[in-house]
Amino acid sequence: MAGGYELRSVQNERLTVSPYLALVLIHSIQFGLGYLSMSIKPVQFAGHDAWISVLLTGIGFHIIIWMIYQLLNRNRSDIIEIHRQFFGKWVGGALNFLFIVYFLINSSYQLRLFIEVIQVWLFPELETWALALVLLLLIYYIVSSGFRVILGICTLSLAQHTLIFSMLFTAPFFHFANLKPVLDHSLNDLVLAAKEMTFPYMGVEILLFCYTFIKNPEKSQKWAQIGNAITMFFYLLVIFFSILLFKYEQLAKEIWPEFTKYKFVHMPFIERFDFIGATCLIFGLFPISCLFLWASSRTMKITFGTRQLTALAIFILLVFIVVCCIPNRKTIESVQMGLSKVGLVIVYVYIPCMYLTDLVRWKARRA
Amino acid sequence: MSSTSRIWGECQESTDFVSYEHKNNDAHYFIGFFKTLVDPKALNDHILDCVTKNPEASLNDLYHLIPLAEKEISHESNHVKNKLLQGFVAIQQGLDANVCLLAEAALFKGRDVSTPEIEFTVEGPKEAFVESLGINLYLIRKRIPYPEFRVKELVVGSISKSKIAICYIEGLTNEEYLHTVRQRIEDIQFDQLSDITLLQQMIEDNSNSVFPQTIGTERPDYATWAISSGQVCVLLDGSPIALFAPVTLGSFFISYEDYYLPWIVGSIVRLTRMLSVVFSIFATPLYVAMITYHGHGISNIYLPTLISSRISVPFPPVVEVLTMELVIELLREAGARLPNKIGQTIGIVGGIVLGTAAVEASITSNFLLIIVALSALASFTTPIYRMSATIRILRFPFIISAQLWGILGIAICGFAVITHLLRLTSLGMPYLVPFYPFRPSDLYDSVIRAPYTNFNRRFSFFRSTNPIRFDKHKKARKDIDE
Amino acid sequence: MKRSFLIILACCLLLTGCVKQQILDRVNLFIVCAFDKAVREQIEFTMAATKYRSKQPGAVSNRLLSNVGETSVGIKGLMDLQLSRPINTGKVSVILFGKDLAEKGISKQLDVVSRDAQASQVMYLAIVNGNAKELLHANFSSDEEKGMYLFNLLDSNVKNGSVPRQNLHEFEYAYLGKGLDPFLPLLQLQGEHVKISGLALFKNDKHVASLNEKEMFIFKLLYRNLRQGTIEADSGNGSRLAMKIVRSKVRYKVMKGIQGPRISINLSIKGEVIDAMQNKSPDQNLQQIRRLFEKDLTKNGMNLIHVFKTEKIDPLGLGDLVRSHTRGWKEEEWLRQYPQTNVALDVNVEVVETGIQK
Repeated sequence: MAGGYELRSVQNERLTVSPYLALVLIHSIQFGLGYLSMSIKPVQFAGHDAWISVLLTGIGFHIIIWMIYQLLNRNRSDIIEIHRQFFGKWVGGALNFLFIVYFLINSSYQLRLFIEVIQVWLFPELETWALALVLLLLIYYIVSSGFRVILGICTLSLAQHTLIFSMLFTAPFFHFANLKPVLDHSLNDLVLAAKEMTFPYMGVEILLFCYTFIKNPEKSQKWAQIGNAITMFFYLLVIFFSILLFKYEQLAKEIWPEFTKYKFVHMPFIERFDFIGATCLIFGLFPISCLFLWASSRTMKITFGTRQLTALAIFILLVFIVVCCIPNRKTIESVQMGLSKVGLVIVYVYIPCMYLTDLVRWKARRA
Repeated sequence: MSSTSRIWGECQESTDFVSYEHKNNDAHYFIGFFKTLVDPKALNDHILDCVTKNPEASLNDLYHLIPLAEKEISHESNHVKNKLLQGFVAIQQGLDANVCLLAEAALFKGRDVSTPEIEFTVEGPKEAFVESLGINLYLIRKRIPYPEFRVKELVVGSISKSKIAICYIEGLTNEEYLHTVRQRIEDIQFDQLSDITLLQQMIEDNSNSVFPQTIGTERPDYATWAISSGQVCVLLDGSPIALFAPVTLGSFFISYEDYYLPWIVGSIVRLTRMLSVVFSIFATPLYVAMITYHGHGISNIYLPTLISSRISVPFPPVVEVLTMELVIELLREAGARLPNKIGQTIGIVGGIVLGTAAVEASITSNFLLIIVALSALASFTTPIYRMSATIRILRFPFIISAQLWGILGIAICGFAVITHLLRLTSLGMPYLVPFYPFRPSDLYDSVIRAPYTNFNRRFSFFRSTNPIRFDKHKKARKDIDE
Repeated sequence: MKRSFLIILACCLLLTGCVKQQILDRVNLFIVCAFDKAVREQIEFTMAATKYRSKQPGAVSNRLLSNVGETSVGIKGLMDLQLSRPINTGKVSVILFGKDLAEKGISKQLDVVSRDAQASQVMYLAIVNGNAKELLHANFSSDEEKGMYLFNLLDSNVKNGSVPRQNLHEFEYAYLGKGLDPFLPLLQLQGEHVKISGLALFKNDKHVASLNEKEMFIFKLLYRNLRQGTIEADSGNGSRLAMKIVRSKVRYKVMKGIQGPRISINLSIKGEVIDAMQNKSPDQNLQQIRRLFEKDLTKNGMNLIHVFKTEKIDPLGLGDLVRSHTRGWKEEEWLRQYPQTNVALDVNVEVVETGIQK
């Protein structure tokens, strides 16, 4: 921004990452485990036109990312600082705390979802706490290595897209007639489906927290937008895949329709990739849990002055307890419902409000 | 300043110290040296000859007369003692005098320059470093006749007094790396630095890691390549290996022969080598995971072969695999500890006889035998010995985690290893560069080796002060028959 | 950092006993199994467990095991009592259903299969004309494992022969989806041999009608584009003509009619006439041969569609086709219209070659 403002909370250059990594950041935090069951709900509302709502939500998120960058670029700081500036120490601190809670619940949910998939597809006898313990120790190891290493893990998580090739095995079973007739559903249905699509796109709010860790953050907006576009592309693939391969009635029966594609794989030596597919979800899990835990422990450090490592250890313990307290599919689903409502509020209420408040402040200061 | 006569007395405790009085008219010379360290020819031809021929000369005169380059007059007894231990001859006028003439007549005995044994290549020069620092520096210097090439000597080790040479090119190597290396070497507190591998472990960023963070090579051509790309090279007297740093993970899988082959061939060979590393680490863990947990993922066609070869094996797959891996390690260790020819015999006997017998006796399935043998073979394709040892070790945590949670265990273990690699640095440079942080312009010599026209810039991650290797000329586009 | 890695490893070690091992050679695998109707509401489940011999990969035999029970999971529990090793369902590739059971409905069994995380989605299903258990007990493959034999039999006939493809996924798709009905190949035991004797047509999950081999192939022509197969036709003077199909294309068109939609099917075939030349009369030229085939195919095809309409089943998926051309399609409405829907079949045969002789 003009005016020669310096970043208010400058990070040591050794800790920052290149702007292009904003692409990895946005894409990997959006593309988590949610895509497995993503197609069910939109299809319930919009049927075979659900892909339109995937596009709608994607475009909506492009605008949200633009708003986030406008807000951060003007203030040259991350949201933790902005909260305190706008609302004072107490209210700002409370808002920060709410974000911590949201991040913790979200990473617990992702972790529990992963464990559930493993329990259903690989090892039904596996204890929740056992896998949670090992994974959380690993997450502690990753997060304690710092932001750069976390983004390294995010970059690595792009490797999961190689599994797309297993879709080739399902291609002979695609029914392209399923896409027709286009626009058979009302706008209302499409909006309802788009609302359901918001949750898979969630995660962009992390930008508010790691803005200062990006070198030349203003330049990274382009990359963040591309990251969102890539997510949109993959979500379109997923939704097309679901519509082409399944009948609507079949989809209603499935829990993880994306997963079924692995049951078609038939290669000379290996057939059925379900165990590989289930394991590869770990690629989706780590970026999300690590980034959320990193963001919450960092917010804790800045807002309340605790050591980040201590905060991280406590949060890991909390997540462990929460994960062990979620017993079955029903509870997981209700947690997801709650989170998706919170997500809606963050994306469509909180961020635009912050953007407008900031705009008004900016205009007022100029006048 | 104590009298030098005390040194005489101290040194004479060792039987290989020779000292005698050289009486020449009125001049009285005491000559002392370690006969095991001194070259008798130099002693006779230059020093003694000179002393006898000039009976009237004083120490100062002798200093000028002795036809040797390295000589000095010293008053300090400790200095005299150190020099005596380096093969100098001490000449003293009168036993109580505290001035001493030191002349170097050190004996150089060591191997001749021979062919490389660890990093043997078919193409390229066949010279390898030897145990003498002088010869090693000669091997490097003759390849870099460049005025800015610098050699800095340090002495480390309270007993061994090892000479260490840091080689770099001024105005090309990043000062920061140079400073770090120097600082770390100076900070070493150790008595007997017998080989450069000790130094290697002492100056690495994370000495608890199984991954080496410096490369040791016995090839002068490789070492000089490293120096001219902006890396710091360290030599130790008495060690036939040159160290260089900073390095990346990828550079451990580069054999220097890749540079001598045409680029397509070289790249394919390099790719094969990298794939074989992946195979070597994951083959046996995947076998354990597939057989123990994910049998339904194996194609129907292979089931009969796989099951019928395993059905009479009484052990679970993990025990079977660990046994076989252990056998291979035993064979390798036995082969390494024995003279060359016996070693080969052991390898053949072990490989063929033990393998067949193990299958016959239903201790292992022949399917596994193939996998284990192949992965052992694959682990030896890594040109840097320390890395190939790491790869062999790395397999075991993967096998154990595969036994625990199948392919999920392998994935978790893999993430732990990758996080470790992400944290690792070599002289502060990220270990996984140019893949993370991603540097597309530095990929020309990573997984593939691009043609030399693409080598016009040095790797950006070496942060060389002179990043341009040569100017790239743009070729005019040619048309047919021009 | 190193420490936490060690902690992870140590924890893993502590938790060793937590997951159940399924060591491949210590479980009972089976590639084919069968469901039959038993007395009252019970079903009979037959499993052909594979038996391997040490170091003889060629010598695989079967051990057949049958049990009667209310649910297939319950039967599996009963079978475990008879076996020295646990049963692993992961390798099932063919499931057979007895005709009696198929007439009652097979959705309950299929639901269990498709809920199994390890089950393949592309396994073959087939109906046995008679008792599936008896078929499995017959000695139809002397040198091959029975499951693999049946799988290869179905697979090669689907890929190169006259059997239209229908696996677990497609069956479910047609069964659950609106506007189309599933079908399955029909197996029959002939002496010591198993042969595919036709196609079993389903209404929902119940077997209601069958097609013979010839009708099955015409059905396949109407169902998908092909690149292989042979068709026969009457020459008019008593002898039969045969043609090898090089490629066939089928196009569906939906047009809006006064009462409900009109469907026109366009089938174009390119083929090589091989088995018609030696007894052709001088006035018979290729044009006429072409017409003979066209007439024959149109007649048989229309017959087939007529059968579907009268049985009120829709294996060709005409309903789904109409849905994709109609906004606000309703299933009930379509089902009412279906028997009266105007379906036209237009066959186009082109003789491209006549073998390697004129």
